[in-house]
Amino acid sequence: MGKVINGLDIESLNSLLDEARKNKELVQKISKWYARVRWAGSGFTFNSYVRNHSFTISEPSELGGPDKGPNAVEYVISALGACYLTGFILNATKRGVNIKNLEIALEGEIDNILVFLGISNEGHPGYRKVIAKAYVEADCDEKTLKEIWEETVRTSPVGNTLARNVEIVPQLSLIK
Amino acid sequence: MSQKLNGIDVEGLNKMLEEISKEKEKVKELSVWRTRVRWLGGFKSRAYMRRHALDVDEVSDISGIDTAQNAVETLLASLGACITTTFILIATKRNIRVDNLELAIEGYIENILVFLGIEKEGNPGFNKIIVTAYIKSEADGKLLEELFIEAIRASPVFNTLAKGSQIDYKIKTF
Repeated sequence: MGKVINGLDIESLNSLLDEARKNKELVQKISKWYARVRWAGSGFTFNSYVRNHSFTISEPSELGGPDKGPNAVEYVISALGACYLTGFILNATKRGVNIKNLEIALEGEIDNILVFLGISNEGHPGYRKVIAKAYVEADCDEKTLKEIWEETVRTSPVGNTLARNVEIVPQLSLIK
Repeated sequence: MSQKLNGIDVEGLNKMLEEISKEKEKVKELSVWRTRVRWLGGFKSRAYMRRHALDVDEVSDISGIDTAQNAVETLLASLGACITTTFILIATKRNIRVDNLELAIEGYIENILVFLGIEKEGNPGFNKIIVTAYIKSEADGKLLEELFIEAIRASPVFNTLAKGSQIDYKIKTF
């Protein structure tokens, strides 16, 4: 084990980056991601399965659910926050910057929730705007932290997925 | 208690929809969603949403310790969950019983090397996502297909991803 910054082993992080530069198979592997979501069979409760991880998705009582977990739109902004956080730690660690504390607060505004409920046809039921605020404590000048933050936002997989239009291909398989 | 369909009280659901359509305050409340994500060391983080929490980590291929799914996997799962939720809502409103429902989601990152800081060109996000729904129901196949398309169109997460959302970002240093 070599030098550790932000809980990450610098030597193994650098060897991963080296490997990603030359190993096409590794790049392919980390470019494709999967998830499965199953309806729990009653009301608004669903379980997602990602490799050997799992979490529950539900709806709050205001939307007729039993609130057994966050809902899908809460998970989306959490995925964005987690992605920014991962990128921030990656970019800070690569520069040798020690982070003491990091939190990202996010707020998303739906364009027209009534489209989701089938009450209106105007606008769209997705987020039109998401605000992400990073609170960071580190022994480093503000300029560097701002650079790390800009780089993180620019290179974020989830951030880019949300900000650009993604092609989504829906397929249906009916089970007899 | 009125009749339940797909585990949902149909009368209660209709009453709720009627109330929401009349109350502007309620609509506003249901249009803004929040989360806080805290760093736990390494690539591990925890998201807090109202009274719920979710851990996110990174896979060992990207130097994480894989204690939870990563951010892009969480995103795919939320897309699948959103379409599933919307499908159950629409089917129940139409009085259609669903026996079983599963969605499989597969996403392709255009250029992951941009995320790793190795390359500058291209998009580090998903440029294509395939969603496959497996539905078991006694309803007519053509009708189920229509409901599925309707669920996609009404899905908040689908629309966020397909249309693109503005993201404002700020940093506060301490």
